[in-house]
Amino acid sequence: MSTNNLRVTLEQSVKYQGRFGQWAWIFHRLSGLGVLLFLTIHIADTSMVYFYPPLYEEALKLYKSVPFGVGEIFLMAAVLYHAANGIRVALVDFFPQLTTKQREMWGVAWAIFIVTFIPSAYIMGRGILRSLGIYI
Amino acid sequence: MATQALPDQVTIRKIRRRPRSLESYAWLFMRLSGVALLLLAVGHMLMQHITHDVHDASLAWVINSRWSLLSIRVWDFLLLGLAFIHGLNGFNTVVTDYLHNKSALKIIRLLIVVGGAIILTMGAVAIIGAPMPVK
Repeated sequence: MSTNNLRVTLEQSVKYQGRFGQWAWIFHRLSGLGVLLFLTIHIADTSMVYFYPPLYEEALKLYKSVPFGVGEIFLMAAVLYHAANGIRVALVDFFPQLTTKQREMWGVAWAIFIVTFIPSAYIMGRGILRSLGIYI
Repeated sequence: MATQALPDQVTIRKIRRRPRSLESYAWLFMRLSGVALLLLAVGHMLMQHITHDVHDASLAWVINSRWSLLSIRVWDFLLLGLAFIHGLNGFNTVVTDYLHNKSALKIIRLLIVVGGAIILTMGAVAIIGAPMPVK
C-alpha cells in the first residue's frame, strides 16, 4: 500500500549508505516541497491584490507575525539550498565530465549556501526583532 | 526491443536520434527553468527580504511602488510561471516515486493540473490586471 511505501522509503532513506549524494537528493526534495507549499499560498494571497484587496491586507498582517517571519527564514534556507544544489545537478547533467568532481561540487554548493544564508538570516532575524521594538 | 537482433547483412551507420519523450522535455525544462530561477527566485528573495523588509510591506507599496514598474510585473510574471510549473513538476516526480497505485496517481496528477491551472490563472490575472497607480 501507498502509506507502507512511504514508510519503507523514509526508513530506507535513512539506512541507505548513499553518503553525500543521497543527502543532497533528500535535502533537494524536502526543500523543493517546502518552497512549493509556500509558493502555492503566496500566489493565492498575492492575487488578492487584484481580486480582494482587504484580504491581502489581512494576509500581510499574518506575514508580519513572528512565527511567519521565522518560517520565512526557513524559506530563505530552502530556496538558497535548492538553488545551489540544483545548479550542481544541472551542471553535472550538461557536462558529464564533471561527474568525477561531484564531491567537491557538493562542498562548493554548501559553501555557497552558508555564505549566502547566514547574512540573510541575520538581516531577516533583525527585521523580526525590529518589529517587536528590539533594535540590534 | 533490446533483445531484437539486428539483421546481420545491414550495417547501420546513422542512428537516428529518438524523438524526445514528454519526460525528456520535462527533464530539460527543470534544468533550464532552474537556471532562470537562480536569477528570478533568488533575486526575488533578496529584493523582498534583504533590500526590503516584509514588515514595511503594504497594499499601497505593492501598487504604488512594486507593480507601478512594468519590469517588476514582467519579472513576477516569469517567476510565477517558471517557479510554479517547476514546483508542480517536481511534486509530480516525488508523487510518482512513492505512490504506486496507478488510479490514485492519475487522480493526483489530475489535481496537480487542474489545481495548478486555477492558481496559475489567479496569479497571472492579478499581475496583469492590478491597476497602475493614479498619477
